[in-house]
Amino acid sequence: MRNKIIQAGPDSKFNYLSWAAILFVAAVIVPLVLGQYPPYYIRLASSILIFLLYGISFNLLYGFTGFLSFGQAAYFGTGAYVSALIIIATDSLFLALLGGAVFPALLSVVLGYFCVKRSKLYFAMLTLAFAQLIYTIAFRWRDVTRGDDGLIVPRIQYLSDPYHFYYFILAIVAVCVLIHWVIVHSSFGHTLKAICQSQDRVSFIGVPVEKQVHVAFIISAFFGGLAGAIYAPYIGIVSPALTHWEYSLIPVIMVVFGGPKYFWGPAIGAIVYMVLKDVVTLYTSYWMIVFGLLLMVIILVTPNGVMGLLEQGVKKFKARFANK
Amino acid sequence: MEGYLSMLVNGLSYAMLLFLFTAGFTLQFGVLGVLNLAHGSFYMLGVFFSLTIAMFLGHLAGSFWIGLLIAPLFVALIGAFMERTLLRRIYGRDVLVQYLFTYTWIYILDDLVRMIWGARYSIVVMPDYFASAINVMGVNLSPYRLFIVVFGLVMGFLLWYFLQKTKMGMFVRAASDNRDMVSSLGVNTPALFTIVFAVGAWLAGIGGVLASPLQTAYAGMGIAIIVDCFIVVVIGGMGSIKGAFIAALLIGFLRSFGIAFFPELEMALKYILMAAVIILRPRGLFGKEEVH
Amino acid sequence: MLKVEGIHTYYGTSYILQDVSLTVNEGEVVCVLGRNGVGKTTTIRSIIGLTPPREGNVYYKNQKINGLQPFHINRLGIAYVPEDRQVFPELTVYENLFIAQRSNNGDNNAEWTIEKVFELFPELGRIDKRLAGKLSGGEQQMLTIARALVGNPELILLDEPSEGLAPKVVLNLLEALKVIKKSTSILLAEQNAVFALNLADRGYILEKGRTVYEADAETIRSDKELQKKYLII
Repeated sequence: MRNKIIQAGPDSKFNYLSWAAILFVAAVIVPLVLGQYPPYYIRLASSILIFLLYGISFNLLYGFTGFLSFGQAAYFGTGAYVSALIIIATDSLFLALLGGAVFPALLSVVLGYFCVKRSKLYFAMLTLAFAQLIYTIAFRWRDVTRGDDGLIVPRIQYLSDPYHFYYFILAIVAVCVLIHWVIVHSSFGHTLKAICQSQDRVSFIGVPVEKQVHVAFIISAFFGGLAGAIYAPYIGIVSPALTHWEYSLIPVIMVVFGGPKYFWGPAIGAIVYMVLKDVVTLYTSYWMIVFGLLLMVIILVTPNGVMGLLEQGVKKFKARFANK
Repeated sequence: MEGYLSMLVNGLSYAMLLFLFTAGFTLQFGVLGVLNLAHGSFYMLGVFFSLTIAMFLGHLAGSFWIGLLIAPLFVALIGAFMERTLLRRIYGRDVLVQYLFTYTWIYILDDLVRMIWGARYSIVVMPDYFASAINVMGVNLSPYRLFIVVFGLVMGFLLWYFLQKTKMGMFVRAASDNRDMVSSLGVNTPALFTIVFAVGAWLAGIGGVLASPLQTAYAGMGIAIIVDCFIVVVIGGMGSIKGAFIAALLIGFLRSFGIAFFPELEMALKYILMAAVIILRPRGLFGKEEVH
Repeated sequence: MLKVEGIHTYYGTSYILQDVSLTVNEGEVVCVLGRNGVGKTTTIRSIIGLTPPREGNVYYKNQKINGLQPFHINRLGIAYVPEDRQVFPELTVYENLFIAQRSNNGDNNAEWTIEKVFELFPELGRIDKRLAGKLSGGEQQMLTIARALVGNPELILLDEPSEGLAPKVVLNLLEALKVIKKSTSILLAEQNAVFALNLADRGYILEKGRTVYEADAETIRSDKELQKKYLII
């Protein structure tokens, strides 16, 4: 029962890399295709990329170690705020992105130290508590964050063209996906997967489980913060909602949609989520019920998300051919 | 002195609401193993049903009491329906998926409420005899809040009695521990699940009805209380009703005294407490030993 | 009475039972022997419905029971005493028994009531108000068996009851089981062949998830070669 795109590594590296290359090329071509349409579409594509990164940050931890972060928005939101503040102070996007990624990572160093010792359930609860704490700070510390009025992010001069912004985001996200790929296929990544399957066994062979999970946690916070840091100049205004635990559910939805066991799960999930949300809001103000029903149906029907469905479809297709 | 007593009553009354709500959540989690995020939506439904009943019955004497009786039953029915048709299908699945699954219900129920009751904010008017303050030891207190406190204590006692002294309660306690074994002993566990889930929803509904004269009703109001519920459950210990009671008291007091003395910090206090408990005593005050 | 026909059972993706068949006739004590990991527990769990077989069938009194819920199977007359006892730790000894009580609607004198069970296990009667979680291994084993009895089953599935118990306790257990077998059929999965053969009329031997041998207890007891091949480590 070998799955092709299983977390334990693909059958054929070439096959896989070629898919990645195709996707990348497609992503590069997208603006050329969308060029004729209003900027709304390229901005949608940009936001898909950002949320893809957000989803990856979550799945890095969950999909491979099984540890659930219920409060991913803490990093995303913090990254957004830090980035916004740095842009306001220094106008440097580079510093903003750096700060927005590193600051949440630092927070996670401390937080992770306490969290990873616990079982997965308590880990999840603790990350939730932390996210709410961050939310409270964002809400209350008006001097710095302007509370729920929101923090306005000044425009970046050289990125005022949404197509340039798209390529910029693409570059960053592509690099991150590459790093994610490397991690997944490194020995570190394999250890993480083993931890997911059986924590005890891994610790019995001498691997410091907590340290590994902690590192994964930090990386997850880094990517989450980076996603938020890019989001700040993209969206133009940062509000406490970005740190609320409901915002933490977004990567969860994307990952469950796409399929948590698959590398490209978050990508599919991000596309589906963003497009769906936009399309549904066009037709009805009651988008929540439509969205909720859809998500519910997907969960019921495909335990492995859209990627799982695709894989089954491919298998059936191949079986058909084999029989002929 | 005046301030303290009324703060005490405020804290106690919120604690009772929170306790009833969390007791329902704890039962659902203990027996079914599901973190029902939509529990807050049941609370919300309790509020809105009581609103509607109040509108229908108008100034009929006892309309509030009828609401208190009937509205939670409707919520329980809805809970039973959702468990049988939907929740049942994802029992074997991953925790995350179950979590997300119940989360989708929030979306669905919130919008349903918006569609049926509209997006306006409303409030239920409490019966006259509760409306004016009564004087206790020279202090003006809200009789309605006192009523909630008494009601909550009585419900707490009934719940304790049910769990400790009745056969059904023993089934529930046993199932919280080991549902496979309970099934092997001949107890119809699927039916038990539905009943427990419905009872949990019923408790949330009661919480909602009790809260309806005190706060405005709006779609989406379930989120705030489910977050507090999580905190109570962590501090009190997952699966412990006794823990939920004590922790609810803590949170209730933190809230009422916190708002008075540290208004800026008040929101943060409970998260800090929650984090501290997880770090120092992860199983909570009365929880069972942690299982990895 | 009980007929297991060629069942194949998986535990997750592990293929544990690869063809197991056995029968238990009314009034018999049948044991299932074999080394650790050979599939004894899974066989028991397949019968009670906790790990249903993917292939093959289980019949109880000619009714197909594989695929039914455990509580349904129990109500038909099969009780389960699990390997790790699984008493309800937060309930008292008495409460553990109370919730498992079921009348067999037959001869009132032959019923296992809580009082009767306390006669069989007087030690339990003395500690009836103690929380089950605070009992010793031997006491818990008595409790689990007693709990199965008060449901008045026709067939008891016993999974490694002697495991982890001191020799003296095992002897007491054996005595109690000898009393029980007068009124109830037993299917006993055991690694301790001596214990099992002392009680059983017939035995099956499992190896790598298959039934590889069947004989009456005396035959197995006396065949040293057989024991060396399948039972001894």
